Amino acid sequence: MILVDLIQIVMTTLTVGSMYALVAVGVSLIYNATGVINFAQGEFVMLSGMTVASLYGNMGWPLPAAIAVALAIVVIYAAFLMLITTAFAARISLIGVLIITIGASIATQGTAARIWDSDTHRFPPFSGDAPIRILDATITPQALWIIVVSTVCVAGLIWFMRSTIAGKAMRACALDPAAATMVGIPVRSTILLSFMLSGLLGAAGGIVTTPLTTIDANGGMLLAIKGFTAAMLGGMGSIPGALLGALLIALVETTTVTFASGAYKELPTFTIIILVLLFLPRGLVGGRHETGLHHDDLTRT
Amino acid sequence: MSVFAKLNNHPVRRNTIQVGLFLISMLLVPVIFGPGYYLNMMIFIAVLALPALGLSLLSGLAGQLAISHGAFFAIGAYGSAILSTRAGVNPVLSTLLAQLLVIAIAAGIGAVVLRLRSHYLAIATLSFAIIVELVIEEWRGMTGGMQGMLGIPPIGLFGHEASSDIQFYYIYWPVTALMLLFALNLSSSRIGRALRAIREGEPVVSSLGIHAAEYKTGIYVVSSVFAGVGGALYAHFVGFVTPATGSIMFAIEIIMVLALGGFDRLWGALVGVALITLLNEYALGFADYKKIILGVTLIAVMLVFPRGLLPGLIDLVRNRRFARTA
Amino acid sequence: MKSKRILGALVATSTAAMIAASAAAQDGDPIKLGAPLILSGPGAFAGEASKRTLDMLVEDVNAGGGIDGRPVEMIYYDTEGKPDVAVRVVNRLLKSDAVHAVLGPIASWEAVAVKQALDRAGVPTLMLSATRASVDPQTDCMFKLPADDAIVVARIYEYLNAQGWTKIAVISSQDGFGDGGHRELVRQAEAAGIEIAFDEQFSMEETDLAPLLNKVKRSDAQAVVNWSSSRAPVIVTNTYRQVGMEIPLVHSHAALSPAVLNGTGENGEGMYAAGAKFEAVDNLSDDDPQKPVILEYRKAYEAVFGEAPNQFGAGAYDAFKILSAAIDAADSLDPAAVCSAIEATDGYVGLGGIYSYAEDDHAGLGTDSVVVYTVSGGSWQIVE
Repeated sequence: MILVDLIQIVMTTLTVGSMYALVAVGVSLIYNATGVINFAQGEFVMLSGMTVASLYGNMGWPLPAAIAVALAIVVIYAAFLMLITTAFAARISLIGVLIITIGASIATQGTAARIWDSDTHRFPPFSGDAPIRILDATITPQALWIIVVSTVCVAGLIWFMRSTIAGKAMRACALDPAAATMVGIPVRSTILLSFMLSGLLGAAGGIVTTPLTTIDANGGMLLAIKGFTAAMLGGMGSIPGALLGALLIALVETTTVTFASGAYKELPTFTIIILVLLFLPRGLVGGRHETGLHHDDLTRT
Repeated sequence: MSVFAKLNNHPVRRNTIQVGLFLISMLLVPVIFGPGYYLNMMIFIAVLALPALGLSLLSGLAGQLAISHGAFFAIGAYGSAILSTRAGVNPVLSTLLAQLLVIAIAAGIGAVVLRLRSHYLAIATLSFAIIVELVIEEWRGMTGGMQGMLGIPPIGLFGHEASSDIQFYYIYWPVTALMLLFALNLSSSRIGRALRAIREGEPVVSSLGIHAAEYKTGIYVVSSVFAGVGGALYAHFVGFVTPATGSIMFAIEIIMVLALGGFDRLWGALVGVALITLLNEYALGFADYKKIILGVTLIAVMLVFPRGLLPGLIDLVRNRRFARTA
Repeated sequence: MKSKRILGALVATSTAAMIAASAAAQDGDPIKLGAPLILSGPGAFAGEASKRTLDMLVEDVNAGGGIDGRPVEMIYYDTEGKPDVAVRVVNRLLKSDAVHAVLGPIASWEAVAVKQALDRAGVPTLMLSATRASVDPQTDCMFKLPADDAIVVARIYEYLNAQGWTKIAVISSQDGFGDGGHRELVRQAEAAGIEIAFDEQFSMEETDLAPLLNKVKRSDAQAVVNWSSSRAPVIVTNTYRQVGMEIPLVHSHAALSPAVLNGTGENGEGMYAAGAKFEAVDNLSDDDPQKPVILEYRKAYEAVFGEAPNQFGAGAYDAFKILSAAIDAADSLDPAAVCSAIEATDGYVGLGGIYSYAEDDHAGLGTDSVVVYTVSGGSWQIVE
């Protein structure tokens, strides 16, 4: 009995945690580059999920084509987000930028509800529904897809940041934009790249999770909040930290549901975040200090 | 010296006269225009002005933005609702008693989270708001859960329950005016100046013997009480509360109010509330469009007029540049 | 400072504009009906179908000269599925639009919230929500259309008893609808001889119900009753198969929609639900009086809108028909007269059932209007 529980908890944690990880890593990525916390992060997931749901699920397009279109849409959207959040950087406080991303998130939800509708959508899982049994515990094949895709994405990102020139340029910009400019790194393009990668991560998440969890026009906000909670837990700006934070939050949620009631699922999570902010402001792994791109007082320009 | 110049030297007198005139004009409106549906909207403006004023105090004086005002609106609303429906307390009294709860919680939360700056503060207060929403939804025995609470007694004075819009109007607007006056006076008082000084440079101020943390917590509590009173008045007007009362979307709408009226303008907050209420009315059939309009306006306003639409426009009119140094 | 006084004036002038706008709305002739419906958000499919149906009916009626010679005007507002918006909207209908009757709202939690305002105004109201709480406690002028949770639960328990599945697990959503159903399930269990071995509620926001269903799996229930609406039945059913549960799954009437069938696909085979006869009209025997009425409605709806209607559109249809018949019979728009006329409705063959109101019964339907369905071959089939 207990073993089954344990297996179930581990599997659910990995699945849910992978989902949160894609969002959280995306948040950290953007924070790294610009010091901005992107409230609209969840919309990357939502847009890709809805697009594939209508193209593949409803209109019968082949899956790869639907995925390609979804990714393209999200990347364009990410670029647009980058423009509005960094446009008048010197004039707008950090809170102002946060408000802008909130505005973007809400506007996107409304637009999505108009383009599609407010119903929930899903499309069939990639390899069917037949559950796989591991000793009396069951997991669905789509969960494996989620875990694998997330791992590949995050690992790919880390490799990219460490081993490619573009990736190193991103890290340089994050560390010190002024110095980076002086060595000839195009800061704005690099920031754009951060946004787009962040978008791709979120989009990947939407594509693999929707068969399991369904998606609707308003689903992005809660996901975004959990995403930056996870990122904050691990250390805002740290990618391994975001991953860790996401898994921890998923673990807390899953154990709460299993041993207490499903209703209070989020309570421990948000209590933890407040505690973390107070006692471990750098997060578990230690994040980055704020970059110099924005100041933080709302009433000054 | 002109009357205005003299008044500028006595801010309390000036504020009192301005608020007094404003209140008189508001009280005359139903007399001039007679009863009608618009009164309903005006009452909402009076009620929603309170959390907006509260947040304006916080952002104007302390320069920080919290996303917890919705939660305190809800705490005030539910607190008063529970006291008046379950314990049979008179609504005016329950409104006041509920504020004790607001003060206690705000003091507790404020003391811990106000050490944080800018978006960390935003996230911490957002997390707190989510927790409050969760507690309201889950503690069904007390709060009625997702269904909320119905049959909340209307506010009443001298043993007489308010039963028509006009009566609510004449009770609520003086309350709002009084709180507006309080806010204005607070802003121009020594406490207000101390807070602005803290905003400019905390270490310096500490060396002058001002305990920054106490001041910040204090203004946070005041700001939250504004929201709490607004919530209670709302509950006793509409007659029911649900988890949607004071939700995060509500908090975002209040931020929008400030984005329109100015993050550091108390009078501007009133204008912002009027605009948002009008928008809510005329977008009643179009929730999705409302979200789009809300979102796009937030983005546009923050990009072009980061201190708020109204201050930005006023600056333009006065031919100043966008950026000011103080 | 002058600029601040100007701001005050701004507020005053905008109110003047509001007043002018609302004053212009008065009109003598048409019969104004208000419909607070869910037109956005996850429940929009219910409101959309209702609105389309009402539009269709109003066009028909007006083409035939209206009711009692007066044209009908429908005023729709979107409640967004939220009780506070529903109250705002109903207040607007009552005070600003001055409607003669109200059709709606749809969601159980909205109905409970607006009851007070509607009752105070004394305006004839036909509620489209399926919770008994909308007419219990009963008020003078409010009537309910859909088969409510009390009746559906009674029918489900009847069926469970007949099958010998007397030990059940109950999972329900934490909203007005789930609450209403849960309350009835608990209330009627003992008298029906049903033992509830497991009882837990889940949030409508929840997308991962595997942990919950695993818990159910470990209980010794013989069947699972799920009381939730919108997308929840889809998630429950899909997860049910994913965790490999074999015992029968019974849904509430909220699951009787094409959307749920689409969302569950093969996973839905063999699941049960109980509700009005509307969904499986083709199954009905030819001498069932409801069959021709339902078929005609479906044909008309499909001709205009190109897709099949759902049970919510059906509810709106019945409401409008009953109301117009009542206004016609009362020969006036006086609220008390119309309400008495509605109350006098007896044996009206509608899409949702056969309605008979009475002085002490504003719910209108009995258990005979509810049937048990199962999914077979991808569509809902009547079991009994």
